[in-house]
Amino acid sequence: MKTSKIAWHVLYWTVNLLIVLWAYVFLMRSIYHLPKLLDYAFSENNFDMIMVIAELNFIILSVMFLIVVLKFRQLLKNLKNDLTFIDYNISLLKKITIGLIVFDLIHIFHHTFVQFTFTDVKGGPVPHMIPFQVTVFFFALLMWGLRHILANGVRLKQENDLTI
Amino acid sequence: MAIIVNVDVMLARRKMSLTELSEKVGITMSNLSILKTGKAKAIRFSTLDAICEVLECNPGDILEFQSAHSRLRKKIAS
Repeated sequence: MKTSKIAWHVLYWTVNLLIVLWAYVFLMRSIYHLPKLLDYAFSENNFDMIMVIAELNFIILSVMFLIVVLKFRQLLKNLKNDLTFIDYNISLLKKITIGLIVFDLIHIFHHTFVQFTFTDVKGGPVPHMIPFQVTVFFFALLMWGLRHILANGVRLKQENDLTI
Repeated sequence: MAIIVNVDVMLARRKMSLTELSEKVGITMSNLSILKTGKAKAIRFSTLDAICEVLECNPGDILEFQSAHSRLRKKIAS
């Protein structure tokens, strides 16, 4: 087996492990928070409503994360099976880029609105998440660049395949 | 594309089948089909040389340039 193939296999199974971990964390958190969330939703206290918004934000963020990871897994599966220069990979990279940017925007909203309100009400230090958001944005830009490189590769491969 | 491949015309003139040509030239039927249907993006000199050798013709007999204007005129006439 080639070294590159081993690398794709390792990366693919790492992403699979990440999905299993995600499912475990999401399930445990849901079991813990869902009964409380129902109480908060029917409460007339404003702080409880912020808790509901925070929890809903977390669910949306988690689902967005899962979508991006599943698309990334599909991309790795294609690369593992020697299907590098195909149109499907370009569309996958486009979806990953959009997904990451949406994830980043929701995270910024979650951080600025919910977290700041939390610290305002409860006190304590303001959590710093800016480096994480910048990293995600940088990764989205990287995927966007990769998509253009892959598109160029697909064009060259098509030209090579259609040269008689 | 403005370049038209007239392999089928030359094949008819030489009374040769596509299978026979592919066997003599040494290229696959699928590649010949790509060439015939005009889907090919490029043709190697070696392939062109082999086709001309087998069909006993010049590259100009196989390849023809047709401008967009003349193609439109042909379309309207038909």
